[in-house]
Amino acid sequence: MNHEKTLGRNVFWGHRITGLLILGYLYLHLVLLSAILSPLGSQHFNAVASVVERPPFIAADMVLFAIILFHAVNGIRLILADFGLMIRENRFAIWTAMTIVAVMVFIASLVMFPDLLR
Amino acid sequence: MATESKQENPKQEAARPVILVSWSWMLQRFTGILLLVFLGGHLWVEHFMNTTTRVVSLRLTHWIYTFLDISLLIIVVYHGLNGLRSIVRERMIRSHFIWIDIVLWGIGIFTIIWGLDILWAFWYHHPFFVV
Repeated sequence: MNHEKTLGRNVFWGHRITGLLILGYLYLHLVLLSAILSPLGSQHFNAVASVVERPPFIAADMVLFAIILFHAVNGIRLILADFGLMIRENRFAIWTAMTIVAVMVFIASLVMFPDLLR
Repeated sequence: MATESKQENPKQEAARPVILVSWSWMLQRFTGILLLVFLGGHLWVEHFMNTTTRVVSLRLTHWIYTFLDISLLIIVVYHGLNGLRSIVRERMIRSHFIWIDIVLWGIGIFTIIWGLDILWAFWYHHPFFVV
């Protein structure tokens, strides 16, 4: 029972922290896209785009994708819980969600891996 | 006569499912579901297309991309700031709630205008406001 509470609490904070990180990324995303608003316009934007396609940024993208996936899949679980689904099987639901996240992150890593080697 | 029934049988009243807690609560779920589609589409498109000014501009000539990008911008800003609102409200006294709403609405409108300005710049290669 205690373990279940700890698991639930961790996922609760995980959802909040990933949400705040994604909100922070939204503003970073807008700042980078704002290169198009500079006097050099498209030239400046293309330069920024070529920098963020380098391997360290692709690796960071993978982490970002994992964060978004965690928030999204856990969000689906929360909405199901709002409709009264999977509440008794809460522990099972959380582990299922985490497994789905892990599998999807693994698949995404395989898809994104060639970009890391460019 | 809801109050009477509550007094008569409080347990039964408590067991009744609450469908609409608040608009912000419901819209948070609704925009969350929409984001699965819009953000999923956004990430898919961005991964399989090059990110150059020319490609983004050409893409935006099709109404479906313009629709997707503007919708995603509005939905993501609402969902993000509404989530932040619910966290901030837990740590604040009730009399300050109105100020949180005013500040977050201001930030939200500013962010949407900023995003639209970026999209506008991609459409025509020149922005309203130069940073």
